[in-house]
Amino acid sequence: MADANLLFTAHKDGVFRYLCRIVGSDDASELTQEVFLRVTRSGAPDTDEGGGRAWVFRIARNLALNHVRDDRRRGERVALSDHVAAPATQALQTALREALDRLSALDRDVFLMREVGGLNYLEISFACQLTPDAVRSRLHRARQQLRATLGGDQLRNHSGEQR
Amino acid sequence: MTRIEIPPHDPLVEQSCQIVAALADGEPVDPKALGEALNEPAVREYLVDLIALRQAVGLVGALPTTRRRERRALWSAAGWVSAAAAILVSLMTGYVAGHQTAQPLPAPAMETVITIDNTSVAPRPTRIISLRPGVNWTETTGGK
Repeated sequence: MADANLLFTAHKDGVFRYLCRIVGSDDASELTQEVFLRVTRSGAPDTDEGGGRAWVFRIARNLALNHVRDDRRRGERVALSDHVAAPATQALQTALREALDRLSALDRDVFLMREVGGLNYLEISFACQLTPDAVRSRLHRARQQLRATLGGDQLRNHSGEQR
Repeated sequence: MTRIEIPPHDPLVEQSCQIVAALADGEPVDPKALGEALNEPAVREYLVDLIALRQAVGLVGALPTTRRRERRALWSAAGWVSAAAAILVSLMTGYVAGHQTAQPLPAPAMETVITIDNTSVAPRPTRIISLRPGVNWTETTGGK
């Protein structure tokens, strides 16, 4: 059996970033700790690094889904105005968040696992319980939707401004 | 939730887009298919947008700090007030109901009159018993 501590240490940053984009940074910290507890309790599966990462993200995804579901029951959340960014970046952030919100939950997870978590198609397929072909298809669809929502020109211009 | 309608694309272009996406994602790609895909201007544009999107996602940090609207605290305060009001109403109702339905106590069959006399003195003894040490009792040590 792989060392759960090593596994978590190796992937905690990616898990945190992934969770941040789903539940926000405050709750992401707590959920990342919860992922650590689950990983430690259940013991990591005997697999290669990629399998381990997929397994950790699967736990993170399940926790995030539960959290979002519970959060909806408890009441709406409001954004606080402590997030300061350049106007252009802020506009892009807002647009991208809204565009991500419009994706289906599964498409968004697939997209974020790829772009934020850095998982490959096989790992995402394990984490989201999809076939690799379905991952490829959903990823493409998510990107096309984001592209259609944000607009290629806006995307390129804003991304170029930050370089 | 509003679903974005994606305009229909040429299936071949879609396939080519997936090939360049696989390249950008570090997945294995058939070089020949990749070469053909990159000949298509729309696919090259898609690749550029894909990279721009990746950079945008990198720029966009976590969701802004959020706080649950203080609904629970409000409900909590309202709950306490409601509970206190309910208890008060119950007590008042019970008191009024009890007051209205209460029967007056029946008069006692025999009245006892107690007269308190401030000048009362101890009654006179009816018998005097004189006790003499060594006769009526003996003293011992150690409480025996």
